[in-house]
This record gives sequence, structure tokens and C-alpha cells, in this order.
Amino acid sequence: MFEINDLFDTFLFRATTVTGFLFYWLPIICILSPTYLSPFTFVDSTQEFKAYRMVQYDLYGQAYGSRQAFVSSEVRLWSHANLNRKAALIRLEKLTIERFRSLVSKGINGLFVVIPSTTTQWSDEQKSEICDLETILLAESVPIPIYFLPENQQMNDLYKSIESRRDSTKDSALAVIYDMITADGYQLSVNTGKYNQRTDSVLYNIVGKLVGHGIEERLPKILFVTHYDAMGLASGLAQGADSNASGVLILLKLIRLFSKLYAKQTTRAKYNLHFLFAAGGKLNYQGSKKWIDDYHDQKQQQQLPNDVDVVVCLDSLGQSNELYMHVSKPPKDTQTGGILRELLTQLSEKSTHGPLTFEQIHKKILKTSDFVAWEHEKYSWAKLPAFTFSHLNSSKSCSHSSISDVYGEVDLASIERNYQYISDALIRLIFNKTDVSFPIIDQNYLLSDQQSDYDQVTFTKQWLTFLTNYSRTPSLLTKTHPVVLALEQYAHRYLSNVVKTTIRPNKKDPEFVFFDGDDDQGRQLYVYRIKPAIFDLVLAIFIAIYLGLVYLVAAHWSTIISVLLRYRSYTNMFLSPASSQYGAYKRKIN
Amino acid sequence: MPLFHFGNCLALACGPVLLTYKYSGLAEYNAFWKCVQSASFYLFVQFVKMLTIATCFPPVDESSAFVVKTEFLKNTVDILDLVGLHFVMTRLLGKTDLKYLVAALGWTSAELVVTKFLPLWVGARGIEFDWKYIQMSLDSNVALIHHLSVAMLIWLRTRNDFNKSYIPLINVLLLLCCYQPLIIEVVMHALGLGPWVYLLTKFLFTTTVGLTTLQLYLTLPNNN
Repeated sequence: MFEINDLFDTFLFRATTVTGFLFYWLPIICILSPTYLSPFTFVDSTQEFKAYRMVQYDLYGQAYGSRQAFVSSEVRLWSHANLNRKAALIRLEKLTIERFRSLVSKGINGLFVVIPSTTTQWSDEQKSEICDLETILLAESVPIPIYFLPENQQMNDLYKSIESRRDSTKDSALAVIYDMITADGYQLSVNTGKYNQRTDSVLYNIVGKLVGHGIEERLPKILFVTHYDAMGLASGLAQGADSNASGVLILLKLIRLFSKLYAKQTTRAKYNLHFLFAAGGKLNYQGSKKWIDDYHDQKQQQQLPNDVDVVVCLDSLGQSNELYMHVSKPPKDTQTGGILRELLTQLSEKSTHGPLTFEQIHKKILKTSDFVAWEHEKYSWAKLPAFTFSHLNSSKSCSHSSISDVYGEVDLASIERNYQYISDALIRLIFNKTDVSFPIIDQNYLLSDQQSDYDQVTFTKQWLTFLTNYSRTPSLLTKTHPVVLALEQYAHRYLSNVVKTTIRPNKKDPEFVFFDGDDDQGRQLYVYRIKPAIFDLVLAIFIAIYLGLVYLVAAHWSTIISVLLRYRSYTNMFLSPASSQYGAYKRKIN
Repeated sequence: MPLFHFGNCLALACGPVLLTYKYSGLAEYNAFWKCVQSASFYLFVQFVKMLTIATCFPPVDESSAFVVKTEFLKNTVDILDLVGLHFVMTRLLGKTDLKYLVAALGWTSAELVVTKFLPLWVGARGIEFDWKYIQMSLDSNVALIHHLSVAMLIWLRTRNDFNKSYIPLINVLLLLCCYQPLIIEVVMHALGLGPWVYLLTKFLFTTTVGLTTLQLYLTLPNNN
């Protein structure tokens, strides 16, 4: 029945008439041309947002953080009944851990959390909310991608419009069907989905020293340590103002102070001072560990005993008027640590630099776990006397690693006060003038190079602004990170023998692994308004009806004309007065 | 389903043109190539119009402020459209019956291809849904009616057996058609209404002109 000739004719015929072309070839061209090859694949969206991804890293082989990054799916509000394979949008205040777990169990494939803007200080309520999340989420691995969206007007509008979609379980059937067909949906898509393991996970320690008066090898050493990274739930938002930009700040000021003192022979003390900007502080103090390992290797090689008198760790010194000295084994009064403790107790009782409560906190090292609470515990474990200064009385405090730790969290007066007390005690220690009734520090002399008190404050402010301007998550602190470069430059200017040590994880059993796709600028989140698929079908039906009407009009044109002719008499009534007047006018002229 | 949506818009835009072509009996007259000729002349006229605007008028700065004077001048150039249609009907089509229909269909399909295909292809296939693509297709339908009326008006004007006293009316109608975009834009700006009302207004305007044209057509002695 179907001969080859017929088939051939049919195909050719279909290709040669106008209708044939349009209804046959054009759809084929449309369908066959792959969308991704089309030259017009620009992104056509209504809105763009900045989204920050949750942090992701491996530590000691354990995975932490969000394990996925790619999202391109429809978004629904968190309270919607059906969330399977959709992305959920939720505000921070509505997100609790239980709700989070229930959302994950409902099968969402992405979570978007609206958080307060990170340029302003967070309220206490918001801080405690994010704290609850961070303490738990930072300690486990999450299978879905999580993005944080800083709140702004545009975001609020979008949230409202998504919220206003009617919940389909409540209305009548007709309304539900209408809603299902016509309501706007929103499709969210994040443009890059990279989250592969990085082959070059590195950390950098920066260390320098000031040599004391006398033969270097015979003098006792004091090591000042502070870790300069920060941690938070979103890797692009970890400003870490109090923890630990405040510590870095105090170390910078100490460097400047001692460098001035050690510049002249007459004011040089009989101690060698070493300063260490340690990396990986939030990753269980990898930087300090590296320093300790190197130090032990060196000492073993040279067959010398340990010559470190004390290690002073600085961690979170930017708030309140309490100062704690955390130790794992209380130093005796004759040891350097003990002398410093005594000095600080006396100074704080006299309130020489302002109101301060000083106390020693003794916490034994837990030998059961690799994870240590404070930085000094790493040194204590290696049999080096150490302690940590901090205004926090417990390392479990959640502001230790929170994205709510922004610039506004730091009180400049507190930093100044802590710095004065610490430097006072240190100077008395290294010059062996432990009687606190003698004021041995001439502020004018110390400040003369730096012009004035005002300059001190500007120094603090500028460095704090600089440090909190960049997110200092460990994976972001590469060789070219501005903070790393700035600290190195600073160290070169004031200290001697500045070394930047690279810390690489073990090849076989890496201590830490970083992942691609960490970004402190945020990723672009695109939001498209879409209609459900049924809508297209309904629209097609309406168009078919419309075309049917046009067909009727076109096919029965003559009938319509004859109908209109019958009513021509009426139209003549309207047209003839005008034309007859015109005719009369023309005749008059002629 | 973006491709489906594109198909919808395409069907909406091209459907009436094709239906008019098939069911007004033009297929029997083998007028397909004449339509193509008319379409290519449309392209030529557009080109000439662009040149005129570029050379004769001062450069328009791209601010979105709606200045009546420049828009008025730009629409005056649309008189070239009328001249073009006239030329098509007298020179190119010669002795064809229903030459106004052929001219109008060719004109409309050319306009469709040139102004609507690309936005639809690029835009209607995106993930984002926007009502403007449906509006564009409906707009091309209205343009079909518009071009039909204009072609018929011009054809009527050049006929010998047409009642001369109606000629001023034809002139008025032609002018109205020419400045139709301007008039509608002014009304829209004054009342500040949305795109659907704009479409509706355009449709009403065009239908009114169309019906009047039809009445004038019916006054021809052949149809009595």
C-alpha cells in the first residue's frame, strides 16, 4: 500500500508548500537544534543574588560541611507540604536543628537560608540562632548543598512572593486546579557547581624573631602565637573579628612595641622573642603543630635541650573586661608563666590601665581525642610551658567560629586595655622589674615614634577593618591572599629572620583537605519565574480554539460579506450625509 | 517546557496568516510567488525607511523619555510604507485578482519573520516565562488586520469605479493608520495602562479602521 514513490512524493510535497515548510521542517529544526549550541545562550533571568556556600573541608579524614554544590531546581517555602526534590527557602529565625533534619528527611535537594546582612552587627537573638546551627552543623557532614543569602530588599520581596503562593492543601478543588495551572513557580540555579578536592591544600605559617642582648644561643626564648584564620558556617562570610582578628591585632601591636625596644642596644632585654602567625587555627591548630614539629626536629638535630621559657597564645581578646589565662598545668610561681600570672593579678587589682578581672583557668588536656580546645594545649602536650590569653572563659563558646563575628563585635577599648595590661606585664617580666609599684614604662617614649594615642587607635581600626574585610577561612588563605601578604610584609618590616613556612598535608593520610569552589565573593544565584508544564498545554488548547475561530472567519468570508451587505442600508445612513455635504461643497466651489 | 511555549507563540503568530492564505482562495490563484515578491519589497522599504531616519533626523539619545515630536517625525516616515504598498500593488502585481490580499499577506509575513521570529526564538525558549511573548504573537495578529486594511484602502483609492466623494475619508483613514503607533503610545502614556490594555486598544483601533474599510469596499458597484 505504501509505495516508495508515494513516500517520496509526500516528503517532497511537504517540503515545498508554505504550510508544509512551516509545519514540517521548522518544528524539526527547532527540535533538533540543541539548545546548548544556540548562539543565544545568555542567561535570561529576572533576578540575581549573591549566595554564599556552606563551608566544606576534610579534617583527619573526616568530612565536614556541605558535600554538594550544584542546585538547579524549583524552590518552595520550607513549610510547603511537598518538598521532594525541590529546594527549600527558609529564614534564619525559622531554622532550628530539628526543622533542618526534618527538611532533609523530606528529600530536599538544596537549602537556601536568608541571613541578616553581614555588614551590620547582628542582634543577640540572631547570634544565638546561628550559634545553635553552627555548633551542630560545623561538626558533621551534610549531603545537600546549603547556601546563605544575605538579606536585602530584593531578597525580602522574593521571599514574600514565594510565601504568597497558596498552600494547595487548604483551598477548594477549583482554586487548587487554577493555582496549579497558572501560578508562578521560581526556579533557582547556581552557576557553578564545583566542589572537587583541591590538589594543593596548603597553609602558611609566618614566623620572625627579635634577638635579645647577648649571645643568641644562650638566651631564653619567649614565643608569641596567634592564629590568623577564622571559621564560620559560610566559607565566604567568616570575618572572625573577635576570633581571631583581635588576637592578630594585639600581636601586631606587641611586635611594634618590642621591635622599638630591641632597636637600641641599651633597651634590649635578655630574652629572644619569637612571633608566630599560625595558620589552620580552626583546623585543630595545624600551624602550631607544624612549628612544634620543626622545633623538635631542630633541637634533636642539634642535640640541645628545649629553651622555650613560655609560649604565649593570644585568642579572642576583643570584648569585655575579663581576661583569662588558660593553662593545662598551672605554672609554679618561679616559672615564667607563674611570674606573668602574678604580675597580671597585681596589675589588675591596681587597675593601672582600666578595670580588668584577671583569673587563671585550669583545664586538663583530654588525651582521648586529637582535638584540643586551646592553642596552648598543643604546646603543653609537647612539654613546652604555655598558656592562652582570652576573654572567653570556655573554648566551647560558639562565637569562636561563627559568621556573626563581624567587625562590630570588637570593642576597640577592650583591645587597647588588654594590650596595655599584657605588654606591661611582659615588659616587667623581660626586664626583671617585677615590683609593680614602680611605673617603669614611659608612655611618651614608647609612643614618640607613633606620634600619639590617636595614631594607636587608627592603627587598630585600620588593621581591624583590613582583617575583617576578607573572609579568612583556612581554605581561602592562599599565597596570594591579601591578609597573608600583608602579615608577611609587616613581619619583614619589624622582625628579623622572617620565614614563611608552607604546611602541606601528608600524602597518604592527609590531615586536612580543601575543596574547590570556596569563594569569598559569593556565587551568583539566578532566579527565574516559570510556569508549570500544564500551563503550556492549557495555553495550547486556547490557541487552538483561537485559530479555529480564525479559520471559521476565513473560510466563511463570503457569508460574512453578504450579511454585512444586508445591513449596508444602515451604514449608508452614516456615510452619505458626510459625502453629500462634501459633494455640495465641491459643487459650490465649482 | 520552553520549546513547547515557543511552538505555542509561533502557532499564535503564524496561524492566522496561513489560514488567511489558504482559505481566502489565494491558493487557487498560484499567488505564492507574488506574496514572496511583496515580502521582499517590504524588506526594501524598511531599509529605505531606516536610511531616511538615519540621515534626515537628528540623533536620538537613548533615554526612555517619550518625546512626542521625534516620534511624530518618525511616524511620518511611515508614509513610505504606504508608497511601498502602492508600488507593490500597481507595478509588481499588475493584473492579479485580489491583489490587495496578496500584497497585505506578503507584507505581514515579511514583518512577522523579521520582527517576531528572532525575539521568539531567543526569548520564548528560555527557562523564564514572560507574558510578553504571547503578547508579541497577538500583536502580529493585529498587524495582519492592520496591513489588510491599509492595502485595501490604497487599492480602493486607485480604483476608477470608486465613489470619489469618499476619497477624503480614505485619506483620513490612511493617515490614522500611519500614525496609529503614535496615537496609541500617547494614550497609553497619558493613562498609564499596562501591556494587555495596550494590546486591546490596538485591536480596537485596527478593527474600527478595518470595519470602516470594509464598508467602503462594499460600496463598490461590483458587490451590490
